Amino acid sequence: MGDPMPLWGMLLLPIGLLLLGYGGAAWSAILTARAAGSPVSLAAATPARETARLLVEQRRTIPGADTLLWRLGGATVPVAAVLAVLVLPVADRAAADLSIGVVWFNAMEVLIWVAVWTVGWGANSAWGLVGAYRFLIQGLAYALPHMFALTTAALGAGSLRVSDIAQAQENLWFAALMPVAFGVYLLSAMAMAYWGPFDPAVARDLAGGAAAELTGVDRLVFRSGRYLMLTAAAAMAVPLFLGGGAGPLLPGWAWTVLKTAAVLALLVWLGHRLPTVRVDRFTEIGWVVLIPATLLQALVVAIVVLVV
Amino acid sequence: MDVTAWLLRRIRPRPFVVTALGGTGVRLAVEDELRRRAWQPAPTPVAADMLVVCGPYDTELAQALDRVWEQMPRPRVRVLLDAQDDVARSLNEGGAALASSTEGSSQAPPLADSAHPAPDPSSSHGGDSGRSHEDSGAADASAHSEEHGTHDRSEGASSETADDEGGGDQHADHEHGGHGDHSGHDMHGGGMEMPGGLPMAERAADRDGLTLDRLHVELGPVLADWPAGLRLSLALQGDVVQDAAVSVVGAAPTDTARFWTAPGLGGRELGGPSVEAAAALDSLQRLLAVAGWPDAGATGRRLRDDLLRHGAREAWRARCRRWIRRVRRSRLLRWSTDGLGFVAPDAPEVLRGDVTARWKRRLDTIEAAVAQESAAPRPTDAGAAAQSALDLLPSLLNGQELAAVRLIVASLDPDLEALPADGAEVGHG
Amino acid sequence: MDAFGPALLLLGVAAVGVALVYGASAVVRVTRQPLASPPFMSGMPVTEHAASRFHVRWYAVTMLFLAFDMEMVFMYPWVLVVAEKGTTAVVEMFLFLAVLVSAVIYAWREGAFRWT
Repeated sequence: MGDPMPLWGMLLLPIGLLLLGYGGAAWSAILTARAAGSPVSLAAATPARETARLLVEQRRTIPGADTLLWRLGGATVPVAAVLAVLVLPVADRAAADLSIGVVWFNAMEVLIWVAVWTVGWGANSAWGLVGAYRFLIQGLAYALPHMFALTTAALGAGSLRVSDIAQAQENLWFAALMPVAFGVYLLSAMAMAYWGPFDPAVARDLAGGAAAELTGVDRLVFRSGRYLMLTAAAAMAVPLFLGGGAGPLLPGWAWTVLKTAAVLALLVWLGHRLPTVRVDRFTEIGWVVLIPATLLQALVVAIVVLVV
Repeated sequence: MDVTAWLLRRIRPRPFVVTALGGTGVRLAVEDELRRRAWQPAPTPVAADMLVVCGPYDTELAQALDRVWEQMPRPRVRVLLDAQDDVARSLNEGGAALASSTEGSSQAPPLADSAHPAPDPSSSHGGDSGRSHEDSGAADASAHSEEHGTHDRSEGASSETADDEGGGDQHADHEHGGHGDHSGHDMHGGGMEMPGGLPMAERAADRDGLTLDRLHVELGPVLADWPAGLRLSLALQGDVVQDAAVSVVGAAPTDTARFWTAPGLGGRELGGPSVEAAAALDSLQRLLAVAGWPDAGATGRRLRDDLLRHGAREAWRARCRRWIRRVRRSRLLRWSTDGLGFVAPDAPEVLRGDVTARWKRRLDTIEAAVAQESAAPRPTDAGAAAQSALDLLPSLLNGQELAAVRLIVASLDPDLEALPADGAEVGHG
Repeated sequence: MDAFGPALLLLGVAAVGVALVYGASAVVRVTRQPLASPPFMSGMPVTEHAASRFHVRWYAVTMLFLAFDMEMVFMYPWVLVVAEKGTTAVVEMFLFLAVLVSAVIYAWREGAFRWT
């Protein structure tokens, strides 16, 4: 564990997250443009133009809506994403290298459940309500495999401190030692950011689901929060499974950024490549396949820990 | 507000496209144009700033469009397009109106104005970013005419239950709608105890032995990736359908034939298999969008547009083959659609089987055009298929989740433009 | 516990960031007056409030989830002592998990994960 992160580092952390998140959104726009045959050259600026559009757009109130919850839920998404990277070690330093870092990340990520549910429920809209409950049942299906994947990484290092987990991978990345846990982590990273195959909560078939009634800056905050969350989840994959900042030539922080960008690019691409998984079908798989699979993975790692 | 103007000029419009019956040709032209401009269609009018209406004027649809227009945040613009309009020019004008919209510009008149049953058929725009109370008069007028228009109508399922069309019941319904609109403007609920003057949902029994709230949700006529002119009135408990009623909004003008079987398809020289393939691509892109695979849907749309413009050229065939392979091999898609909405084999052939069987059949149609098989495609009676899809829908949807409902509707994809003239029950007002 | 100081700081930074976005929008948006309109209902009038007693058909899953979620309270600290306590810790934990998994299998056979 290195020195505490300096103050400017704490300002840089959200900014870095924002930049990477923008990159993810732009990459998503490029993939969309490629699929549709639209000019790809226009796509990189799409998120910026959309931001401009939402900034000037009028806000909205709905009779009977729980406006406080509605707005608060949307604002929670980006805040939870930023708080999640509190324990992320960049160049051997995290903003706060908590001894229970893994649990902290887990807790922040579960805040998204509250956020999406209140955004959907608060709007007094049938679409939002259905989307909100879709997210809850999806959460019930992905959360346990996700937590077992996190636990397995912690088990491999014998510590819940994220920097310890990164250091334990000096010889072998956990992605190689525990591929099932890594795969499940990537799945749940998409699920917690309601991204790609796990986006039924905000899907097109519900006219936008939980986000159906958001306009203007409210929609902007909710949507950018989603990209921030996806980025935060991708960033946490680096110390948990991809050896942290370890790598030749470049400094540690550069490797963290590069690996994060690679994982983020993969997640965004997967989201475009796969259709949505219906929650009622995914629940069964989550419980009957993913939970036993992650538990077996944990057992294997536990034995490895005992033997080595 | 310099910054506002600067930002407005940098906006890329986000259109929401609505298709009236008889507007398929215009919709295809619009979607093609939007694709080339990289203007991404919005999933809901709330998220859009441009309301694009394709096709002929219809009173009932116009009322729905007025309600939707009231829900769109400013800046906003409305683009009405009919067959003879220049799509690119109208979209340009719409975009320009958005970019230059400032406070206090003109308010678009309501579409469903009883004094003007048929507005100017040429494209018209209303740019508007003024304060909402300034246009409360106009909006009130629209709400007023809505009430009368709907009340005079003898058809049009009431929102409570489709088979109960008692005048008093219906009137009460629309009263509520009117108040909702009204309070939306100046927030005086008229002494109602519930916010917005709306009642809470009523309870009803359920197969689980619980008595929980029953929500009434309308799908269509104004919905993304939805067959033109279809309206589904659902009663939901949770997100499971307890009761479904189908109706048709509007009617295709009698002087124009169904788009996909019109001779020459707007002057374009295409063989029968190619037209069938383009229709199948159009249907499939909607299903893929509903199935949460917008990229595959967008590629399908591009393949459809290229096929309609240039015919089945070599480059198109190669791309189409790749796309077909990708969709056909998607286990996730099959997993989502398997076993849904099973239709017995006595129905028209295009409808038989489950959702998977139906989208695979559409892929087969496209594949036949790619392979340029000389075998003439089996002519399908689109009108009969649409009619029996409408008849089947309520029983297919009962007990299904909303996600399954969307998939089933998208897989049946009734082309209501093909309904025989006497089948189009809902006449013009 | 001074490790949570940075957490508060980061919370502050994030909250200020969100507030800045809201503030910027308040300055530049075309009208400060919010649009008051009923929720989108495919162009049809909304006839009732959507916030209702939602029939959650998967409530059985929530019960099962609670059981497992409590288990995580034991599993996180267990991670720290595996190397120290050795085989007994592993055997005990996985016997416990086996009991829970058998409950999942029972629930699965009872159809708890299918509700439509």
